[in-house]
Amino acid sequence: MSKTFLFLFSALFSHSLLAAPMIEAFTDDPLPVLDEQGKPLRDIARNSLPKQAIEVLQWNKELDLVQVDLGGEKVWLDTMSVRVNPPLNIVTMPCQKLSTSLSDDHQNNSTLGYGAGCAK
Amino acid sequence: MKGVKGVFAILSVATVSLLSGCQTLNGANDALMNLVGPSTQSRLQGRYVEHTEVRQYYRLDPQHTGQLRLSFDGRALPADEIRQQNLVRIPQLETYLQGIVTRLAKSWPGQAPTLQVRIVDSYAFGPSADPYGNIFVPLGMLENVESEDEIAAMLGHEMSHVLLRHHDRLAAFQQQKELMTNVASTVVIAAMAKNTGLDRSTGKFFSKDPLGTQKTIGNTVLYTALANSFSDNVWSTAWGRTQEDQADLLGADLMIRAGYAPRASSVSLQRLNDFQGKQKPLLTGFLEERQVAMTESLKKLDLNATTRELQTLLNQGLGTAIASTGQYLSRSHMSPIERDDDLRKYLQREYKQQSRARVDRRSWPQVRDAASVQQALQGYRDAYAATTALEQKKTPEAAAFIARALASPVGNQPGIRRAAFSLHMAQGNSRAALADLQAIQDWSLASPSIYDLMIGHHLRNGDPQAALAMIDKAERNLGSEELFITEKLMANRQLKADGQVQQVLHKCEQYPSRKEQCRKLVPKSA
Repeated sequence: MSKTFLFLFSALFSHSLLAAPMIEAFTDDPLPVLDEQGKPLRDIARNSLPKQAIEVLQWNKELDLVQVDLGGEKVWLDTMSVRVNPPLNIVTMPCQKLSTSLSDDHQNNSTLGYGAGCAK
Repeated sequence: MKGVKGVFAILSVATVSLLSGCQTLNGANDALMNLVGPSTQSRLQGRYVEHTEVRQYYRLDPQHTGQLRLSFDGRALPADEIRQQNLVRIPQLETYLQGIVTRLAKSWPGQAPTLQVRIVDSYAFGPSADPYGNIFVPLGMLENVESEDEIAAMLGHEMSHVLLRHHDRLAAFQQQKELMTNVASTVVIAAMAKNTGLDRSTGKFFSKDPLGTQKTIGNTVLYTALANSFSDNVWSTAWGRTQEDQADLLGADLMIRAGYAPRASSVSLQRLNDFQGKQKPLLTGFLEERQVAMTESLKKLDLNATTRELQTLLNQGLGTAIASTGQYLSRSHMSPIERDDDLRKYLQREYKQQSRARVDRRSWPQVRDAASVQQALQGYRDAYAATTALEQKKTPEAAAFIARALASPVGNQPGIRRAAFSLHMAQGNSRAALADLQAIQDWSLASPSIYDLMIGHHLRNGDPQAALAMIDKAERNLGSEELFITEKLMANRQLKADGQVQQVLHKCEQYPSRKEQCRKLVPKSA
């Protein structure tokens, strides 16, 4: 039990020591509420959800669930149903930190890429 | 103002006719709809892979298949389409990635072209695909993904660009830009010809209407710049967004049909967003840039009065219209988060049953952490760290990183040797720098810039035979005869091989962007 707790705790807080992840938006309407294994419990209509950002209490990375406090009740939500900031899925080498000489994509003119690339 | 309207009318007509006259530009309406209206995803009913517009690509066009093969068998690849990065050889990793592509390709209901994964020495995050079926996977992507499902999401997206032949539209767009410039040049020449007279007594040309000519030229420069900028920023944005939407949709379909977890596509878009950070909106500073560019070009023509007039025109009218378009685009352009939102809605609608499918977090770490892969990736990390240290003028640190990179299993690959070359050049040791490049074992992995360094070295040292041998290697490995054709001419001149010089010159004249340089190298008297 304590092992699981440590995993969840470190997964959540190693990401950012300063900024606690907050749910800034709900992308599903109605919002499915899940149990800790990801099984659906019930749905909540979006208009009855809080309008302000709410803190993420835990992130179960393996099951891709986040726990939040909704009206005094701790519930689990699918990360695909919410928008979290700072984001849960990040990169270790963002464009801004790349060496100038290596940041340019240097792709040929005929390629189509996954995103806007990194040209500084 | 009459002249202004005239030039604008000519260029507008040219733009419309160019856009409508080309078969591959048929998607323009859809693109515009996507730019100003709802996204592709929200306008779609059912699964994209089963959609009529996708079904037309189920059958592989034989001509297209022929083009796919051309780049590897022949030497006819246009110089500007050659990959610019060094390739990375890590066999176990390449086999693994190729296996993912094969699995995804099996889920495509149509005929799939040959698709080849190639790892590239780049720390950018996003993979890319070329029209020849190459899917380039940067080291930066492999450093950041955490599951095979994420990799499948990104490779599925790139495969979709190839399957949906998005490159054909890209080529058409670039062609349209060139035609626009040609039309503008014609307007300039026509205006000059119309207003230019010949003084038969002196044999000199004179301008019959200097002010009028200046105005026409100035306006043409202005409108060409505006039209091309508009093309760049609006059309490429519109098409770019449509193509990204389509590739997101088909990529998701492919990965789910192949048994991967759909949520991974959202994860990779979130990572992409984090990688890109806060990007400048596409059109921020657009107008200012155009003004600076035009002012500069007009100054060179010494048209001060026209410059002032154009500036006023820009400030008062056109500028406002384009700036407001720009603001719209900068808000609505394809940010990864926007793409993620749209994709989530699509997945929710079409793949609800698979929504809780779990991501496989085991298979990728097993490959990534295998000893041979780990050592190779570390070698490239060290080379990257050396380059960063060099930029910060920390030469001793760079030397330590290079020593480690050279001792790794990938020590003789071009990316590592290029970093060592930079270190030795910074240390003023050109002999060691040259030895770094000469130690490259597999030249099929090298980028054009490394070939360029070696060919240049041989030519400067009066060793044309060695230069020709390197050019031959470049032609075979990069698939282009055009790229080093001027160097080939120089080498043959050094050899005084007149027959070869004429033969190469004849070939060079077939390449519009090279022929002038080749002709300068071989004066008529030669």
